[in-house]
Amino acid sequence: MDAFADLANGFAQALTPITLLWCMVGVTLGTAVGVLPGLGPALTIALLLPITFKVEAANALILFAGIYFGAMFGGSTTSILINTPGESATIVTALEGHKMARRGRGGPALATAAIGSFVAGTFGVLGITFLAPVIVDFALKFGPPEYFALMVVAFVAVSAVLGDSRVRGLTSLFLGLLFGLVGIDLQTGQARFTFGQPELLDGIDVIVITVGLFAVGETFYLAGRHWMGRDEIVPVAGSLWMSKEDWSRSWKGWIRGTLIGFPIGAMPAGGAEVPTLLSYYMERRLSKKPEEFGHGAIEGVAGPEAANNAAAAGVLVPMLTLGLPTSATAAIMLSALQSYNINPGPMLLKTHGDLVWTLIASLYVANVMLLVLNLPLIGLWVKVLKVPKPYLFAGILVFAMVGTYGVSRSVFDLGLLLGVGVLGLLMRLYDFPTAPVIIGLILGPLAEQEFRRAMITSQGDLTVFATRPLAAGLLVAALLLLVLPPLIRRWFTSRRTGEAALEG
Amino acid sequence: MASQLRPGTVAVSLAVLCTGIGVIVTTMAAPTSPMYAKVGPTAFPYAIGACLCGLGVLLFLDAWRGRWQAEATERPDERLDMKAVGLVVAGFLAAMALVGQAGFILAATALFTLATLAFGERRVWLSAPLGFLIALSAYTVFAKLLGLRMGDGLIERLL
Repeated sequence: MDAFADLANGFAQALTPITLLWCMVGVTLGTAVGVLPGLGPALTIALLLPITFKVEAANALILFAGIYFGAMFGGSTTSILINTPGESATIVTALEGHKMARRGRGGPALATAAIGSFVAGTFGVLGITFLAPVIVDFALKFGPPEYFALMVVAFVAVSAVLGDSRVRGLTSLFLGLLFGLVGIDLQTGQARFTFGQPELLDGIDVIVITVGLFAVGETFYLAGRHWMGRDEIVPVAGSLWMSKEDWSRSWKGWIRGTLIGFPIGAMPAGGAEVPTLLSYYMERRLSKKPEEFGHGAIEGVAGPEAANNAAAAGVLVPMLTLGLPTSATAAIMLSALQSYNINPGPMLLKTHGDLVWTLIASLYVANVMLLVLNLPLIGLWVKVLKVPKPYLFAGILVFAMVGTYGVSRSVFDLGLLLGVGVLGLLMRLYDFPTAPVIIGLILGPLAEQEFRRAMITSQGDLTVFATRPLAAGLLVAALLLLVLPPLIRRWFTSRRTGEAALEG
Repeated sequence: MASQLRPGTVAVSLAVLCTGIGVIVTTMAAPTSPMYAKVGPTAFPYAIGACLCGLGVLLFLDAWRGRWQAEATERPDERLDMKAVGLVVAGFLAAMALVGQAGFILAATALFTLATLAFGERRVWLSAPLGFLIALSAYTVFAKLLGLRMGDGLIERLL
């Protein structure tokens, strides 16, 4: 197997002291931001994008991947101990995990989450190893029409499938696409939406949008709501060790969660919310003690946590093989690649194979580190929660300023950051999802490029999207993604009310 | 149902609609080379503008029918503390005014201090020096170690 030889080389690179150090910094930082509610991996990586000027590509990517995985670990800790899920994918963990903590079983809850994440992460990385070369071989046959169609699928998936409202999700997406248009059009050299501002000719920086929406907008919101973060932290009582029963009730959940999470994460329509929910319902159905669900059932932590982490690994598959990010974090990692002038896509594995395999090997290492680091240090992570909120958010603003002004030295960018922050506040108040903005911003220009390439080869004939079977199939899939979920939801609610009627 | 009508959601939907119209108008005003008449640099802007208009109309319908569940509609009585939000805005404006002449460190200190005020920290004698230290260490790490060119300033000159 070629992949294994490549992977072995990757490990040789990943186990050098410098690389290990970057990985270590990544997972530590990632866990810390994962623990803190309101901070996520997308924002952290965006704030650290300036290091791409100085640090070499492999190390920067390893740092970012460490943050990504670490944040998943840290997020579950917050869900279990204070019942404020750091991100949407860990909401389900809070459901049972926090109940367990309240009943004095916080230790086993954290342990099953950590070990489950480790199991899922390891299998997920194995999955990447096997799947990536296969998808690359397939994707090399793609032409511009197929790429464009694939991106449309991703656009619809991230904006219309998740969240409460398709209309608002799509509005976010199109706002992101609009931001992506700003600047000089690469093919014709024409300036678009720059309004005579020379600062806008290079386009709006990803950092400005991400940091504006996630950090500045969030700060406005929390300050305006007088949120002082006086969350009640349930102390970790009892032993961290899981009893024999805990183990026997957990391991199947880990495996099942992994099997659900990885494929869904790896699909261009991925995401971690759907698999965690699916895993939760599956565990509840298969559990020998379904009556414990809702009162702290350990299966309800083990399954979804594994699903969450397996999906997080799965998301890296389309990112590394197709250049297709399906989460805000993956989108920002993609823009990190772009800042090294590395073109993401199926050629990545051929042209920068060593980089990709080092990254994959580092993910294995990161998983081991997280397991070793996190369980014994849980007390330390809980202390992170005690940083006074005024200082925490004011400090984040200082780093937001480093990420914007420090890169461009433009006061205009600071003003833009303020404006995007106000937009972020409005989006928060009126419940618009923010991830589609980021994905539209980063993927939009690539989609336009593929579309125009397709039009050049077909000489402006739009039917090329209908006559090429794969492109047509993908576009149909996108349409179904847009239309089907509300129908399914309606069907489920009518069935549920039917059941309720029968039971009643 | 007029009783459920929230002026906020209507305003947001109209803002989206106006953005869409603005995108189309701006694109029409832009000069284009006839060479790229078919799928040139205006195709995507037109499409995005049109979609934003359509979404604006759909949002308006949601707002009109009161089917827009969000924090702003669920908790309309709890108004956002605009004084706190204003303090953060003031922090940014201060930073923008200071950063050119006084430099990054002092500008970031001002931003930090005003932001902590927004979060209810009144002990400025505590937060201002702390902000200064954080700005100083951020500058040291990013400008000195990572070689980011963060500009000159009063404190920066002393380093």
